[in-house]
Amino acid sequence: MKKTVYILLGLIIAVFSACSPDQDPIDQNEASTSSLKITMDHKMGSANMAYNVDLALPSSENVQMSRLSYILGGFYLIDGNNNKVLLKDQYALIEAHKGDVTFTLTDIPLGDYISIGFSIGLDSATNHGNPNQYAAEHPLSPINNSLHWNWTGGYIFTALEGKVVKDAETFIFHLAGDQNKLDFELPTSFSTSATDADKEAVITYDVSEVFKNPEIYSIASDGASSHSVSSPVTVKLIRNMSDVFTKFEVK
Amino acid sequence: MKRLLLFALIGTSIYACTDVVNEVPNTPFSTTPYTFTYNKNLLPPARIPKDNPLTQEGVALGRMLFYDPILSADSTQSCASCHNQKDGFTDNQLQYSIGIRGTVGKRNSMSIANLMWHLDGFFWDGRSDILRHQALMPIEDPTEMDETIGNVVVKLSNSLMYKEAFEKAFGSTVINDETIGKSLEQFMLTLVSANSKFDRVMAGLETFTVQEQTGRTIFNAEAIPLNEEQDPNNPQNFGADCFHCHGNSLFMSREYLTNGLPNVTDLGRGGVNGNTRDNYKFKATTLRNVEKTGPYMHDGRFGTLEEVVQHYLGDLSDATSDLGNEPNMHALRDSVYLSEDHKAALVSFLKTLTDEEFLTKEEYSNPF
Repeated sequence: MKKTVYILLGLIIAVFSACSPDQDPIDQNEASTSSLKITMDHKMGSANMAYNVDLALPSSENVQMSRLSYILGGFYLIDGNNNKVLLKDQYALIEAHKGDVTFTLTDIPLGDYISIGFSIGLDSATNHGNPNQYAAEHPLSPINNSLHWNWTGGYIFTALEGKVVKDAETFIFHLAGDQNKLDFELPTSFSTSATDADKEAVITYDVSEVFKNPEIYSIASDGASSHSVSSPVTVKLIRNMSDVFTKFEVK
Repeated sequence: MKRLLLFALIGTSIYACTDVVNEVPNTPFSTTPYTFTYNKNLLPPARIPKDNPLTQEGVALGRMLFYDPILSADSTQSCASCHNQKDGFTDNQLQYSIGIRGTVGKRNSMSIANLMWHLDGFFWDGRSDILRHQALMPIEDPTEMDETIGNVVVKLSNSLMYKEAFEKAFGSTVINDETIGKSLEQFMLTLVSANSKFDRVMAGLETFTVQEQTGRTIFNAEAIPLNEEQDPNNPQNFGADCFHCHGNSLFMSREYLTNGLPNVTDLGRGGVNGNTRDNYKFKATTLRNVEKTGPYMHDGRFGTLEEVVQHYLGDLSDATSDLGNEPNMHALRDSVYLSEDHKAALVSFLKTLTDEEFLTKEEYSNPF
């Protein structure tokens, strides 16, 4: 009788152990590549960027911003041996006015890194490729980003829209064109390993820089819209945008 | 005895494991995947819900339901009553749709072409975020079919034809709101319009006329303020700026936008989300087949495309919405000044979006 009880107990244990879902001997925490989750932190000078509320531009004009959208591409990292690690076919659509400010770079080799590079805008081939190749939710799908100039005409790299408080006149800056892709390389210092693969970072974007450095931009005197890739409005704003990223910080 | 217990142990282990992992229905069934045939250079990759893969059986069932007035309380109206294929799946040139009790609706029936790629909700105000849920809402709307889903389930369950069709599509004769919604979703997802003259030109199979090409340029060019220097011979300088809101291959926007109409009382998107900044905003609907989908705007106030174009050429000074909050519309106020020839060119371009295959395709038509 005692023997039968032991056998029945064994049977019950065997049944449960046979169905155990955790049979994989590989440690799931060991990663072979790493990821970097990046949040864009938008500022207006020292203040947090806000939308549809009064803001003072460096020109002293009071405005309300209603849209800040842009496309990031051309991501790469420089590792500790000064090798360039390209993160191909990875893009980000930032719609700051909607709070969509976070994206994740993936398939990053494990290692030590000293800087990150990327562009506001796209290389010419990608810019003029067939936009229908992308799934509707992809950052480069015109259905998703509303930043595309008909068929293969290319993307608007940055859309900045709003109104001037004083006279309620609107401004629309749609910055596009291959020559207006802006390249950035920001210093950093972080390491990833098999057990510490997924990192988070914050990039600070100071919107006031668009309107002040090296030249103060006045909507009233410089213009309220940019109609072409080489208009004086576009040229001035693009030049000012070369210093918009003021900090890259890995948590 | 020991041997018997050993067999029992092994047998019980196998049974227990099989029971846990085997979630297929009692009655095995097989379905045939539905395959899209549109030109993938012209529209994005198919976008199908993972939990509702398209099958020929599911699509066929959805098509039956779409065209069957059994969905309405008095069996007089089907989905197709207000979404007529020949009108680009809109309502027979009516300004407002009329429900089974004669109730007149408050909005114009929308096109349901290319719904697969809609990212931000359905209906003019986006009050439904999933197509299968959208599909059920007109059934229960008292101003439309005025039926309950419960009654529909009973009526369909009493039909041998439908029991068989549901079994073929979902492996069970049990009918419920989920399978009704999913089958309607499947059929509507197949409604792809991608063979207009515009598409054939993009595919290199045809060419635009000079007038159509001029219209396309006007459609895609930005509005330029009147005070800036113009070259009267360059249509690029006469931008109607349509593309900002109708710019991708769907000719629509995912955004809810104001379009400068006066005397709007319908809160639109703002009535759904409670955000006053979204008051009087509506889905910027597709322009595909726009020649056939009149009357136009959310309230069907314009009968012709020429009237629509004329609206955008106006100064928009009596717009209900604050256009200061919609810079792209605000920019049109005093910027668009098309000649009669240019207006005609713009309309002629819009008519290249008519897809006769879509309007007549057998697999989209009434199966009864």
